[in-house]
Amino acid sequence: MALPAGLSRKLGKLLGPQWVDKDPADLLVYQSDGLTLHAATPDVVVYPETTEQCARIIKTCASYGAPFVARGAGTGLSGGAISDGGVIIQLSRMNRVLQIDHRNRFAIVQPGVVNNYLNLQVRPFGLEFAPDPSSQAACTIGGNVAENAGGPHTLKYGVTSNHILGQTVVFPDGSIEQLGGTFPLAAGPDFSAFLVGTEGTIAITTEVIVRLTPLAPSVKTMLATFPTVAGATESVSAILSAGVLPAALELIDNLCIQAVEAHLKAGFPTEAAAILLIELDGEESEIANESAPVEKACRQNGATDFRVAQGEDERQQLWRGRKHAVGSLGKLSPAFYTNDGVVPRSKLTTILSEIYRIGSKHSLRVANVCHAGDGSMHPLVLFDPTTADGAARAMECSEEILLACLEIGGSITGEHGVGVEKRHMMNRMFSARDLEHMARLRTAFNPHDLLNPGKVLPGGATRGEVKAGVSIPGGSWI
Amino acid sequence: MKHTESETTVDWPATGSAIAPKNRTEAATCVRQASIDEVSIGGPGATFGWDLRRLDAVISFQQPDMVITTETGITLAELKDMVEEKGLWLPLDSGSSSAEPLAELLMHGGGISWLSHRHGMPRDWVTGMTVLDDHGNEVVNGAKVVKNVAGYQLTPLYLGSHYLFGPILEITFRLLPLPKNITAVRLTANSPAPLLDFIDQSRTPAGLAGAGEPWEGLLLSKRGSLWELQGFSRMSEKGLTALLPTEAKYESVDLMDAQAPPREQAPGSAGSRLTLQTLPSQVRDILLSPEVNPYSIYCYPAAGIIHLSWEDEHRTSEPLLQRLSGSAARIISRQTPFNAEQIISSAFPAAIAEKVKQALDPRGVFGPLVVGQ
Repeated sequence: MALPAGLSRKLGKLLGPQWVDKDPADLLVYQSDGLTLHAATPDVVVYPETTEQCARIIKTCASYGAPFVARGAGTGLSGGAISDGGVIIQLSRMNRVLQIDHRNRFAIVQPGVVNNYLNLQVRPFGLEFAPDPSSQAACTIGGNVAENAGGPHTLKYGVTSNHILGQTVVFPDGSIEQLGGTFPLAAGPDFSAFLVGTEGTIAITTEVIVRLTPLAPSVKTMLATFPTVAGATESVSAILSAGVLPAALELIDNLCIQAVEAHLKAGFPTEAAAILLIELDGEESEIANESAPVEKACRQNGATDFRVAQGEDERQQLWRGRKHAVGSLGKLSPAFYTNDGVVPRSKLTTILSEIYRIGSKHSLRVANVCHAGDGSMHPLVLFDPTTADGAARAMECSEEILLACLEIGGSITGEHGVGVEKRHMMNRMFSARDLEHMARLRTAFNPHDLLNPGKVLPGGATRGEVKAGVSIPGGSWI
Repeated sequence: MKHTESETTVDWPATGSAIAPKNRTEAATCVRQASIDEVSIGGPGATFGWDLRRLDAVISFQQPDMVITTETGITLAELKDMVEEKGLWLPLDSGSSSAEPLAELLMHGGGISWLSHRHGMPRDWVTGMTVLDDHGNEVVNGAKVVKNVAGYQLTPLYLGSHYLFGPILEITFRLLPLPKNITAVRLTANSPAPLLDFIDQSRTPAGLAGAGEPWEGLLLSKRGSLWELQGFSRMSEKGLTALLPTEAKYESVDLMDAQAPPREQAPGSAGSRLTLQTLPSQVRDILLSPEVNPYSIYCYPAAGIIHLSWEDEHRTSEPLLQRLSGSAARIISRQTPFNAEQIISSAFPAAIAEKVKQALDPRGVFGPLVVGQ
């Protein structure tokens, strides 16, 4: 829909014309997020600096019936921060750390604060914000909240929802609410906790109270090399069954290893079918107690090499390899499609073998990096975008992989969110009744579906598509 | 409950009684019939309460997956026994409420314990649930895997809701490996000060950087005139001993190796009770203030939770409340008859509660939400 006449002028009066952008060249930046296969162009982008400005923008948009979407760094991987027409509320100017209370272990931040930047500020106090998505050098806390972001260390430390104490939010009617607070616990219902992971479809977060976690006094990072993928996946179960809870337990398969080594030489063994990157943290005696069972579990499952990072440089080098594994695939393919499924841990061997089978069936290479300890999979489908059906085949392959995850009791997304990418698959995971239950809440708080329309729930939830007893067929990607 | 060929009807018990369905089908039938008969089941002010103790099936428990799904009639103690037998751990505790069915514990905001400063609350461990909606339909939310962000996670709205949005019939928890090689600690002293000093020192040893969180469980209590710290840690006995001051400030010191996490042993609290929530940094001021002296106390110092109780029915908490007015502390529960105000908080303001209630139970089948009366 075209932007209602007069809206952008009014937004300019609210913010100053320099903070309202309609330049078509600039708008190209906002056409997609990290999921570049889905593109949509907003009519205008605005850059507020305060909660009150956000509220006034929202009230103005609502009065014109114009849709609006909040956006952070645009690193999301499910198309959750794109807007087909309407207004993008770009929160990058709201980037201040407002308070750090190291004694009570919390910080108050604006949503545009970059995850890594927050960590730089709190590390001198021996603390960290634990969720560490691979995009943490760029992604923002507001985006982490919207997507309930995870990362490699969530195995031990949990996802974003475990680290949010409160929020200031603006609802689609422009009302401002402060939810939760600085106390560490809330016994009753917690609306702030509910909002985490709602992908900006219920309210826009303008301030966040985050829980800070003490840094572990010691860390030990290990690399186990396996001649078979199954050896690595079986080791994951064996490590956890030995009573060890690593801080991170990551699996990287051969195709990804090849890409990483071609790109930045992290020291991964190129002959391995798969490697496990295992990190233990805690007090030194605790790590000492846990190291031996980890090595034993790996050796018993066929590890041909087991290496401990010697010093912080080598440790950082290994993690650089893991965190850049996805980007490194550009060395092997001009394009790839990043998936995000979850399976029960005991099904890791099954799902990886199924992923390779599905890839072969579609004549596509599939590389894998997994938060294996969580059963959280990121199959990366490599394709040639210059062929007529390259992207379509990659998406077909990807959908089949996610259905395979569901088939064995998993989920279609563990940390990337639904966005526009997977909303048509929601009815594969949930019944119409389950979806209608969620839609009731969306309708209650976002009755005109102006806030981030068409995300998460099939059809946007308030336009009649999600009703009990109506089954929405899966099928083509939207 | 009567069954005829065409319909099932419910013989309602006396008003104020609890409905105790023998299975989920019967629970669903009750909700449907309640809607027809214009009675309500569940929340405060409802015609009837829920008693879900007979819904006690374990739905699935695969040790390698480290998740367990059960109906909510089983108790937390039973659930913990079951998973610990398989070398796993649910880091939730509930002190004296461990014998309650999970449904009661979860619906009434229980599960804040000596583990909470480190491991949070039940909502941090629930990955999925099945609830009954206001039409008596089973609705699934979340998933039975460790990580999932598909759709809205409604758990934070249901937990602590006193059944106002409907009962949780089935719940899935993620689990951890059962910690081994832990050190259990018991210290006693004549005043809380040396115990608080030890807690502070253990949580910030050797300056600030890289302190870690040594305590898995931490409980401070007053028994008569003696103060006691109970805790357990993954730190070695040697490591913890090194943090103890050498001067004799303690009446007794017990550090011992343990092979499994102990469970919270909260002292019983007869009589009236008051629970305060504050910032962890303010616990010391409150515990050392003369106004708390008459009370029996147990508290989770690292989580900022202080339970006070008194047996003398004529005693009032006014002097203490006066001292706290204007501070960051707030009362989170009193042992008084329940009213809906108790679910209203800064995390769940009245206006939002009303919208959620209207969305999930517009006809009030699960009882009324009356706030601000």
